[in-house]
Amino acid sequence: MKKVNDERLKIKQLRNIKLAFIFENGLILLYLAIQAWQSRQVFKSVLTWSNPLWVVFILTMIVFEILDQNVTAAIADRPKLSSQKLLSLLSGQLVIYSFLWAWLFNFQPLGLALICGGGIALVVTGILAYNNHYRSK
Amino acid sequence: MLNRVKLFRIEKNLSQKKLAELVGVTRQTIGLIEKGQYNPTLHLCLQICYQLDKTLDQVFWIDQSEARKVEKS
Repeated sequence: MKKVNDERLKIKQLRNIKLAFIFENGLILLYLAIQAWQSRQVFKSVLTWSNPLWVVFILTMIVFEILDQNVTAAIADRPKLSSQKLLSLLSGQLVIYSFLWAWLFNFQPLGLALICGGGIALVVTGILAYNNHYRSK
Repeated sequence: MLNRVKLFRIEKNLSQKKLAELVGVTRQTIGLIEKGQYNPTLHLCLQICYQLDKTLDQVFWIDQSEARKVEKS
């Protein structure tokens, strides 16, 4: 692709990328919905790590959410979160997410539920910690 | 944003294409700026001013009544 130097065309190209992103994700969601409707076993066949389309969609959304922090944090303009607050949020999320995973696994094995819940809690708290860079003092 | 890019460009005997080359944009962008259909960044405004040998306020300005309308909306 040719390098664009014109600022107006750069903005246009960003808008085009945004539209392509919406179109691409719309099609992925549509295909996932069709898969769910056809299989009737949503958690076993569609919302699973063995479904590459679902993995791509989730990873894209996580990357987008992380990158978007410098925009959403600037709009919200909230004060910084202290270390204690971040730690309490992490432990609260650890309990909630682990419980949800344990419930999904029928409370066995609990260790795996703790690892999965801990992973999600770490990612969410990590995003909040990163968000602190863009918050006011 | 209002401007006198076209007037000063003709005064300097520059074509849209030549001015576009000098400031590093496309001819279409210069055309849209002259028609007031695209608001350039401060960086591009200054580049245009340097090429036309004019100051920023001579070339670009905002119609205050228009600006108030935008602020209210």
